[in-house]
Amino acid sequence: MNYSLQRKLIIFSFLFIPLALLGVFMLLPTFKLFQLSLTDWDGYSKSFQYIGLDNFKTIFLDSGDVWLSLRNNGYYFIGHLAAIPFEIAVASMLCGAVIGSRFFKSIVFMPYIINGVAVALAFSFFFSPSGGFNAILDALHLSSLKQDWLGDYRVINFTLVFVSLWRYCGQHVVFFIAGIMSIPKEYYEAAEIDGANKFQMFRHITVPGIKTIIELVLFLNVRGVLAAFEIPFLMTNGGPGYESSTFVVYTVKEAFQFSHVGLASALGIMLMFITVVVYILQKKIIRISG
Amino acid sequence: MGIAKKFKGICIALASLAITATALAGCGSNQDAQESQGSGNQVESASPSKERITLTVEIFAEDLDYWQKKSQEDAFKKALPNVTLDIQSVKDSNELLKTLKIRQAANEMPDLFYMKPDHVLQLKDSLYLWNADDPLVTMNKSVDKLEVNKAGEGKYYGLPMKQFSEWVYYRKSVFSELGLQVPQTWDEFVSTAKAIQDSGKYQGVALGAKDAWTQYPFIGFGPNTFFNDDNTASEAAKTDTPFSPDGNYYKAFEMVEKLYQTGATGKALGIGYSEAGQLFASKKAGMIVIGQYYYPDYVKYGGDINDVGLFPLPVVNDKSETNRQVTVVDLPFGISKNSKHIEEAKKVLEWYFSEEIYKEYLTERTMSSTINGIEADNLFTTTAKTLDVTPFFIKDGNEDAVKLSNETKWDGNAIGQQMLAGKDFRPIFEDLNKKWTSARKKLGIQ
Amino acid sequence: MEESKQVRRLRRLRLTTVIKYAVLAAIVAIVFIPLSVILLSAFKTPPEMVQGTVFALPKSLNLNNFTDSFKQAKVLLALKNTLLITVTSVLLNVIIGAMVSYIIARFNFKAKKLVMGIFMVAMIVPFTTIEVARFSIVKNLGLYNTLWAPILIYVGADLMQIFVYKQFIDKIPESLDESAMLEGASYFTIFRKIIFPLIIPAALTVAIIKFVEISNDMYVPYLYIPSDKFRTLSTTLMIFQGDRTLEWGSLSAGVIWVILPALLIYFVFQKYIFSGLVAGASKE
Repeated sequence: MNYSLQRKLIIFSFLFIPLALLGVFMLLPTFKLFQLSLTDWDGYSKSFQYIGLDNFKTIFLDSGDVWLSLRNNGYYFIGHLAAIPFEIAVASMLCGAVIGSRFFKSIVFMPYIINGVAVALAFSFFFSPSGGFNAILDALHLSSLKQDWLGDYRVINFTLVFVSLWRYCGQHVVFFIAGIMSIPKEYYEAAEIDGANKFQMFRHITVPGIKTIIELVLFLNVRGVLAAFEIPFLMTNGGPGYESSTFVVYTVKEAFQFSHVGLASALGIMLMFITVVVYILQKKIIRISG
Repeated sequence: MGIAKKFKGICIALASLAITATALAGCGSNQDAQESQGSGNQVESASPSKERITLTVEIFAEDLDYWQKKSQEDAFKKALPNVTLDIQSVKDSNELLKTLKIRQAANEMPDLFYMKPDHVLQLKDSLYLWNADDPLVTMNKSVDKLEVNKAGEGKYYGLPMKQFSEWVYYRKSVFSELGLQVPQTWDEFVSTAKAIQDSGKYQGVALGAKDAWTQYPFIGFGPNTFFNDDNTASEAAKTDTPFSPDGNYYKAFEMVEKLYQTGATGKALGIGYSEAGQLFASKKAGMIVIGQYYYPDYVKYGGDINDVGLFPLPVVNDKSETNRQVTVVDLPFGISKNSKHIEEAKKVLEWYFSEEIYKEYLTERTMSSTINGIEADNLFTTTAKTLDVTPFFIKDGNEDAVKLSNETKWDGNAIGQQMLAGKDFRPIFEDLNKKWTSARKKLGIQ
Repeated sequence: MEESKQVRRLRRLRLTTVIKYAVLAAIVAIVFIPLSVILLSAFKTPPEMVQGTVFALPKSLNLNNFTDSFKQAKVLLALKNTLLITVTSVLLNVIIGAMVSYIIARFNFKAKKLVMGIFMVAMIVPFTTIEVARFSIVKNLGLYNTLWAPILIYVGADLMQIFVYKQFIDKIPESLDESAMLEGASYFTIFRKIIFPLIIPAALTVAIIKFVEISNDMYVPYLYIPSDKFRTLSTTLMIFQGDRTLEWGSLSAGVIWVILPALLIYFVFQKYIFSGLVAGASKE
């Protein structure tokens, strides 16, 4: 068989199954999502009506709690974004000369391995009013800092973001370690001869060396924080009121508690849109600030 | 070279994993084989002519053990020799509704399933309708108590599986230590709670409002019980501004606000049902207001059974008036109208509601019976007999009310949480009134 | 002069070392302290749970919660199902991911941008909102309540995976392909004999992450394989967490049963995560 025929054949056959799977289980439902977003379907009646863009109008004009929820996604976004430099620093620490680096590496990644229900449960214990964290504060003679971590709407989102950081930072660190390890050692050796200090090496060799990984993490981050669901859903169910709700928690409530499947579909579409916009904006801003 | 070696290592590791999986699969399928063989013999001896039928039954995971254990027993095999149950479970009522709705949309309902009363209207298109003269209906004394359960023309959507009342559990020793009496009116209840709280030794009322539903006795039922009006929800659909100061909701929220503002509910938003239950069981709180289902947990967590007293939450404000106690009719069983095995599903219910099976469940869970002639023996049924109190059944909102609630996202328990967070419900109510008015216009409800 | 500079440098080095280990120790504490709550609770009897603080040590090494939850949660059955689903989907996923990445990395064709676009879209679709539609599809394909439903949902390649694999393939010199072609090897042979073995180390990192995600996922098994005989490690925990159930001790013990296999697999494989990546990287 000649290579040009083979080439066509392999492109087709190697892409067919993956794309078919994607098409059937992701794209078809997504088309359906677009369709439903234009209807008033309640999720249980046999029929529905097309109502044009009314759902989107309702979201923009008439749903204050959506924006409250989206604001809460903002906490996750800022929290995880602010953590990235720290994650890179830890990753480069673990790549350097550290006694027991293998132990530390496995510890850092461990939270990510643990079942989400278990994490939610452990932290519900931990942050309840008479729970572990307040006990620790007492022991450190910091009783004045004690809070109702999951009840007080002024701190609740910070608590949940902390849990989210606890769970997902390790995954990022692993990516960064992988990236740093792929930077040739000679660069560092050369820099050392030139008399660069650790920070300079970090800034001028490590960070540029893992640029693609940083981009990947930034993308995963935007997608992850905007889809934040499991932690608030399991720990507070978005309450009190909608104070700790997120966009997806709100969407699920619209769909299944308030029987607005059409509106919830429109919210789903909006989420995809917001994800793309935030990602592009983030990329632009980072490019401008160098 | 190095890579090749590592690759080998990885392959070995993966292979060993796969082997473990198949080995485990092996044990599993052996078990299955034995089981089906066992029951296969059963069929042959009992009724060789009938073919085997598998019924899917969707229940709460907390009841899974019970169903599995009981459906393995001889009584089941005798009553339904050719039926195997494929028991599927979900963890809580939100998940139950979600699963059933998704399955309904795909026309893939289980044959037999639990519902919560507020799920019924959303699932009604898929439900087999029960005739009033069906023996299973005539033996069920609660089938009429649920307004949403009536399908019109004397037919019913489901068969309530159990019922329970809401109680105030209190620690007798706390009451005697502080010289407190069982309160007779709502205001007395509030001041009792405050007195316990002010003692500084105990929390007044344990409340786990992180689970919003735990406020039901106050927020959910108050708008009915306080005013002896069982139909508040449906009446609200008839007016433009049901959240005005003269309405049941507003007045009830004002009464609940009195309780919440005493601070006697502690840091209620930081804990859920289970932590609240533990607070009371460990005598860190003097009272808890909750349904009968809490009692087994109280015992399990080492609460002193001689120290717990019960009284119905006082909802009256005049001592001469007879108090009212909410009885919740729960978990109507539904059968899918598209089921190929409706008769068998009914037989499963017949088996489930037989004295032998049902009474043990009621005893274990300290629930009350919905079946004529079967009485549960427990603390609650005996206490209820000694009390002068009117059982009170609340009518869920009709279809209009449900539509309006969904449209305006009226959720009392969520507003209750906001009250506990220190917010005023009044502006929220004003806003709700506006939404309600326009929703009525939009949906064309008169 | 020269000496004091050395001393200063040494001192700074010592200070950074101290900071470094302090940070790492803090991380270890932050990871373990919340988890210790679960571990301690798993040994406590219900009455013990309500007395004392969450950090109080259990009075005895009481294993009842573990034995009870092991039976109640049918841990072995759940483990079997989880391994079947996870191992099958991860293995197939590695192959599928490698296929896509090979095409993307080595060939230029008109629809390449479109293909990448499709993977991009798939990445940002919020799963929770498409369940209603996806359920009908799964049912109509006759996959409902079979193990194939979760496997086929999980098996699809994702953008992150393609991204990581592609980086590895890019590092494999094209001259290797070319010399193989001179010997008459087909593209398929090149993929099988050259590309696939070389991206295995990269595949492993992704595979472990996938493994973790799949074995922790509750919503897919819960919706698509509801039968009790298909319970998985994450759905089996539901027994302990109803609206009105209060089984903290058993739940904690159950949680430990559920975590254990994942941790075990992680510690067995972890050296490959990191060393595999180094091997790939130092190929250059």
